[in-house]
Amino acid sequence: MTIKTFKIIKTGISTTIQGQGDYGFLKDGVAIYGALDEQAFYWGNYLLGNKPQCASLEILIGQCELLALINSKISVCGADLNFAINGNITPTWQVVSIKKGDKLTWSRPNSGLRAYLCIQGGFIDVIIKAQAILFKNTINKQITSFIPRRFIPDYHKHLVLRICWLDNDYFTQDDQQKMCKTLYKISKKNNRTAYQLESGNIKPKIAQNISEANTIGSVQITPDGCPIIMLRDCPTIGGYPKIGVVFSLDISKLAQRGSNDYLSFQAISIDEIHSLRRKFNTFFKI
Amino acid sequence: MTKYPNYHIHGENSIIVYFSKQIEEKNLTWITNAHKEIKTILADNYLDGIACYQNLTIFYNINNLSVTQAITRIQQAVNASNKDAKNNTKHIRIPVFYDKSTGLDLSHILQQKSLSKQQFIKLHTQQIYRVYGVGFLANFAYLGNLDKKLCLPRLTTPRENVPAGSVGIADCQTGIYPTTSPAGWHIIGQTSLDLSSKGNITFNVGDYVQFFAIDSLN
Repeated sequence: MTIKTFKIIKTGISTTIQGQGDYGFLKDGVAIYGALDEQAFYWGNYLLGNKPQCASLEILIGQCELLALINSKISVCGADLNFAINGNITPTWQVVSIKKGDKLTWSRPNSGLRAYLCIQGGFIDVIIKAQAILFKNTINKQITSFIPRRFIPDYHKHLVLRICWLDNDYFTQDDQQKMCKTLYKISKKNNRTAYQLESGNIKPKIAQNISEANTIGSVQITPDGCPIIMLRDCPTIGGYPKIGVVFSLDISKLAQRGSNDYLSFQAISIDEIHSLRRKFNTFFKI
Repeated sequence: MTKYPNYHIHGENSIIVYFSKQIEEKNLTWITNAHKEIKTILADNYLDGIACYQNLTIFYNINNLSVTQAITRIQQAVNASNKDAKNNTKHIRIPVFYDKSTGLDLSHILQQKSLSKQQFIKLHTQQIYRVYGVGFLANFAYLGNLDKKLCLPRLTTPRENVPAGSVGIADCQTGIYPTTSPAGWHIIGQTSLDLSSKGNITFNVGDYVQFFAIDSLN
């Protein structure tokens, strides 16, 4: 059974329904998609007792306004975009009750870029035609009121991306060391497809290789030496040489940074990545 | 000397298999068969796979498999797969209207290559192409190989927009844009077929594709 939840008064800069993302369509050239900041997304659902697959509303930067059509429980996790209900700033990273007629707004960022609105049962659809209405499933579950502060990330903290090097013939150990010693700036070219970094100081042994699959976190180096980090909407195949792959939970952190933010890289082994990710998957039952 | 096939970590939850150093048409059958075997061996731990040119990337469930376990099983599957067994490849025929009106780059290519339009059409349509990869856009198939006389580098500046159904060539490949899209390839004509998700033609790696000329798009 589906229920009308919100009327979209202002769409905002870029507001999309995002779930976990789906495997199964890569061979057709369709990307995985899904919430860019998985940490915020899964906490949002966890708080409401939702199944981890429940879709959220990913709100980029702000300028978004929704009108509640029902009474319900929601959570807003991720970026602090000055979330307010009827003009009153409302705490994030916890469960909040809303009433029919409430006006929900996200204006502009204080910290981070992407906020995730979750609702009990999860969003499922949006009808544009005459009016933009969001729908959800009817599920009621045990809720957690709030999460301990130590689990709420600080998006102003300097970002270190943990990268697992790939073993191919295109890069040397010198390149890897250089990459870890460089402070990179996120360029203006950043979106759900990829984040391009400034300062091209890595020269791969070839400009282009035979195309192969991309994955979330793949770091390609372009002919002018700039690293490009692939995200969830990236093209399924690509021909630039890849130096390594960034740990998925650090991609979640990257999704909360924007142009002019700085970052650095640090090496990590694939076994460490698996160990950390498995802990995350176990906790959120993914 | 590198031995083939070889296996590498590709991503957090993906392994890539290289079947040869260069692209070889004869390996497309092997790659498709190996992919099937891998799906069987990994069963519920198989998430997805992308075959492309001479490589195959497998996405697996890291909750249940370590990298070593994933590579071991994938290797077993590749070793067990039949290089030559025929599989369900499709033969797809694409009608193309080769004309200046739809083929924005056709005129200057004919000039550059000193070919008449008839000669160009013959060279593009007589070849039986294989699908080497699907990606960049949903259902965009990379088809190879173009007759050597037609090979040329990509546009230095891509176009922002080409109409759905535009047929392009670049390097030694040809392809069709299933939807309106930016394009870095030279556009030589247009198909009347709907290759978007609303149509019912899906390209799979290994499929055979051939073009034929039509008099108009209606």
